[in-house]
Amino acid sequence: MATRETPFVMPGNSSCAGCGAVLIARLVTEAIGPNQIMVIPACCMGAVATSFPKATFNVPVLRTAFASTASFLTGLEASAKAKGQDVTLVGFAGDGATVDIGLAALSGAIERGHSFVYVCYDNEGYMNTGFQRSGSTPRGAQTSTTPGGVLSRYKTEVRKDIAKIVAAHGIPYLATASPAYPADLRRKVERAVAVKGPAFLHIMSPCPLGWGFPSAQSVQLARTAVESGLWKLYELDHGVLRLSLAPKKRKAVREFFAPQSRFAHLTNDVYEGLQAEVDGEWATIEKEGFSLRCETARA
Amino acid sequence: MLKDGKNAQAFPEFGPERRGAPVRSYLRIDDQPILLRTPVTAPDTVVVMDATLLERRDTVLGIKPGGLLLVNAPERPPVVVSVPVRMAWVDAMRISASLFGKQIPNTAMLGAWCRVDGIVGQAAIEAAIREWFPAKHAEKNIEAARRAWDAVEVAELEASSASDTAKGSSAFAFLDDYPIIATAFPGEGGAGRTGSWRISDPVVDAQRCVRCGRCVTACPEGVVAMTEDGVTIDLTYCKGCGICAVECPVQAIRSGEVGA
Repeated sequence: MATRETPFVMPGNSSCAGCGAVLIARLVTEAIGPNQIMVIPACCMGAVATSFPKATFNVPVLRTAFASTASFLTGLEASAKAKGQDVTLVGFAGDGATVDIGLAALSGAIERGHSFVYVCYDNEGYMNTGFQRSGSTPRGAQTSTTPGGVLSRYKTEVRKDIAKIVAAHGIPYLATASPAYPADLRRKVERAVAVKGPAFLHIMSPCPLGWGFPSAQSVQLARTAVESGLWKLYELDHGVLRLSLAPKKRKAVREFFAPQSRFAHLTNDVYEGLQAEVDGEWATIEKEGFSLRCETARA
Repeated sequence: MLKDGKNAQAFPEFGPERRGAPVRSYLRIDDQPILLRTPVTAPDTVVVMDATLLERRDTVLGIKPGGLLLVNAPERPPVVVSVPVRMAWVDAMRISASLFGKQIPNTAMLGAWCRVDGIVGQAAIEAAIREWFPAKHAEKNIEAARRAWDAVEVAELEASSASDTAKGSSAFAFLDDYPIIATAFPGEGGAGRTGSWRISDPVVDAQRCVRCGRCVTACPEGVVAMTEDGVTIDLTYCKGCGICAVECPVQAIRSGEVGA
């Protein structure tokens, strides 16, 4: 079990250099502490969790099938109750396992009100199997299943907004976070643990290989997403919605898209359209205050 | 192979496609059409693209006596085998780093394999590279293959009775050591000494460092630590992503020379 002296994420694991997801895993597990059980479905971190016979995370981990993260959390909660154990149950899943394949189980578990922290690290695609599109891949992105060419023009569909879907359940606690704002992330994780009932964290997870940018820029890119107003940091705590950060002077959205090869085909027209969309959202926020209506699916 | 009038079949095994994940793929070559569609369990040749994989006992399992083991390694790798084999090694990583500034050892390994195996001629390999790559990349890749052709070294390995691989012929024989198959225990280096992935070292300027600790927080691997002596980085496992250098607010960390 992890202590102050031993790490929560063991070095020499099989994550890619510059992986945003393993950084998020480290920040989240460190914030929760040793008294936790992780449930990880098929996803990048599922593959990173074990290189048999060695395990990467220094806390108990259950590996599940793609669809059943929240089902496992449900069962573990019943088991912990029966044994009189007070332990934090953490679901740690990628966007594919959350917004697509595991959505039904997640929805059911939130509706039943079990106590757990569900972290969706969102790398915007099925990155572990070769960068296929997911329901969370933004519009316009090139993936291995949405290439650019005569018959296919990148991803044409709008991404699902998982945070809004989860919010519609009336969940006690919901927050978005970014690895570029570790203090904010840590505070939200601690709040999620303290809340009774389900809590959901949606965290942007830059993927150097899948998005096509140099590994050194992972954290910087996550920061640019927030500073350009694209990735909004907010929390919904028992019905009270709060914006965690409003960038004073917003960066151009182009600075987020341009370094990524999956958006290399975006033209000036598209950038102008995106910029107008984001500027419009923030104008509404400044006028009417932040609401989940201000979030539009984009790119 | 096809260019030398042979039949060939190549396919990967399903698995994670992240960078650094162990991947196995198979190649069959024959003068006759190949009808088998199964994994290769008793290879004539094993090509190991990352020497840290040799720590996994299943990597060279099943190799035929007198077979060829080709390893991407900077120096002779300490390999123990249960059958006599011919071992060859070449520093394809260095060749790749010096030519491309990146870790793409594939064409270098192809050149080394072409030399030590001899099944396919050098001219056919170079023609295939020219066909596969766009013109602007082809010549550099041919240069990589040629350098590896020149640099590859060979040694005969005796069979050792002390070898772990003698335990069984199945790729899963190593599971015999683990009573509960589904349980893995926390340990460093599950994917090997991942420091070998690095093509440039992070260099810390202790004079400049203001000890803010941002690099410690931002390191995905958790291999950057703040000690009494300042920032230290565990180079055994540092993958060289470079995030610490970008996140440092006073430019006290930089990425060193590629291939240094």
